[in-house]
Amino acid sequence: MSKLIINGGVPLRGELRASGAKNAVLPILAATLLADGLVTIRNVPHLQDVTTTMELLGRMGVDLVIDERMNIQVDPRTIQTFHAPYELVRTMRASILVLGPLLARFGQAEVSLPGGCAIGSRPVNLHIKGLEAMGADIKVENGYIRARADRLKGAHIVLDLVTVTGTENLLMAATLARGVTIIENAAREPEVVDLANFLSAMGAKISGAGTGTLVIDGVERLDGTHYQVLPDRIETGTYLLAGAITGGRVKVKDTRPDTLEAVLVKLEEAGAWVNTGPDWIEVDMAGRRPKAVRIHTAPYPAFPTDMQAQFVALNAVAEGTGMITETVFENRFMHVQELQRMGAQITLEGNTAISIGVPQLTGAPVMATDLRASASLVLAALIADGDTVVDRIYHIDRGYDGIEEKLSHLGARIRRTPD
Amino acid sequence: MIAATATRAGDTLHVHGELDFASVAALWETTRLWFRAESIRQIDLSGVHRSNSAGVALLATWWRTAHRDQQALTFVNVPAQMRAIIQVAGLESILPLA
Repeated sequence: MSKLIINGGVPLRGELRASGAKNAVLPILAATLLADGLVTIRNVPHLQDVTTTMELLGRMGVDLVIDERMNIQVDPRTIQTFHAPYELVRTMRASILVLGPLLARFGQAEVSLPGGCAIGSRPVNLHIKGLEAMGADIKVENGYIRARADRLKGAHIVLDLVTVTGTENLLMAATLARGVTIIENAAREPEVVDLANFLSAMGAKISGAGTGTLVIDGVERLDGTHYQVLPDRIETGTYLLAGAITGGRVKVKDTRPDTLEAVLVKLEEAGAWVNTGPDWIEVDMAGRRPKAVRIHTAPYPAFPTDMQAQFVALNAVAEGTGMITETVFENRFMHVQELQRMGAQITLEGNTAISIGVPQLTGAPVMATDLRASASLVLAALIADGDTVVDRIYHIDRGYDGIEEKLSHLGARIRRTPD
Repeated sequence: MIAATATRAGDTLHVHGELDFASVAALWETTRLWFRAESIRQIDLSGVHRSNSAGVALLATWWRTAHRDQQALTFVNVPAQMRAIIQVAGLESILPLA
């Protein structure tokens, strides 16, 4: 199993380019199933989850062509089966996103239940209830969601909880439903807006993207299109934090500063000098030690849960006492134990991590437990004294495109051991 | 088509139109020059007829800029739709709403 070996202590300096957003490209790839024509997706990140999604679509018979610049051409008209098997869905919960498009376009879907999740309960019952409200006949049996519908019909759906994938699944399904669908308490994240923009580019009629109420006027068919995926705000934030935590200066280009405002506020509070342009963000710590910050995670545009673990790493070495409260997901502090093994002084009080910053962490063998937790371990390793060996890095490959190449480019001493 | 515009009268910025992911980046680029050149103390949102979460993110950007320059800034006439998003995001204690 591959590992990352990181020798810390180098202030990172330089520029890099943001990749396309994982959380945008996965629903967009699922949404290509709705098209009655060729779809080309650009700015696709090179990630394990993208590979898994392509395998999922490929096993259904969808024709996929990928070029050397990671542009993906999808022809959903060649589809033969409507089945998402357990062995793929269990490795990537986002596989559930094919449920809505399959049902809306082909009238049938058989998708494995995702099962347990390392970062807490994220039930799919809201997806199912919403699709049933649109007229689908759904049975959950033998670990699979089996759904059928002649043609979905518009419905007024009020989501009990704000759910990003639930909003996306129902949004996609509604584009081909007969009549108008209203989704209330919808997720407002930029990636949901990007999906709505993609669907609109195919001919869907959607209003309210980025607000709590989505209105979708169903159409008879959606056409092929070309679309460029939104830059990854979480990847951008992680590299900016890598600059800040090491006392360095990092500029991320080809990104969207307006999608990362809450993170920039906290970086400034930590003592970083932050400058932005239309498509770039630069953070300069000028060799200083960061100051501890207080954070509450909450839905966009507040502080994203996907940046929580990275800021726990920052607080671990910051001056003062920091507090980070996780309000979005339960059980999302599994990185804390590993950081403690590196010398961090962190205590957990319910859903809050309280850190007393130490001047120096020490390298240690650590284990990645989920995607963002593994990013926090890499950040901690960048400032630790000695070597840190990060195990189970398949988690990090799910969400960070070429992390060791990008960090090496900034001056980090990082290498990957082969399988 | 320009979805959103801003005009300045004294120390007040008046914002008009629709704030969404397509319009906020351009609006920020326009208004940041005013923030640099002279102090903006108040942002009047009465002309905003529609906004999504990107519009609220823009308020946070304006607030961060003013805060960094140690300038007081107040948002006035915030539409109900924007207030709802601010509340869901838990930003009501950070953004200075009149």
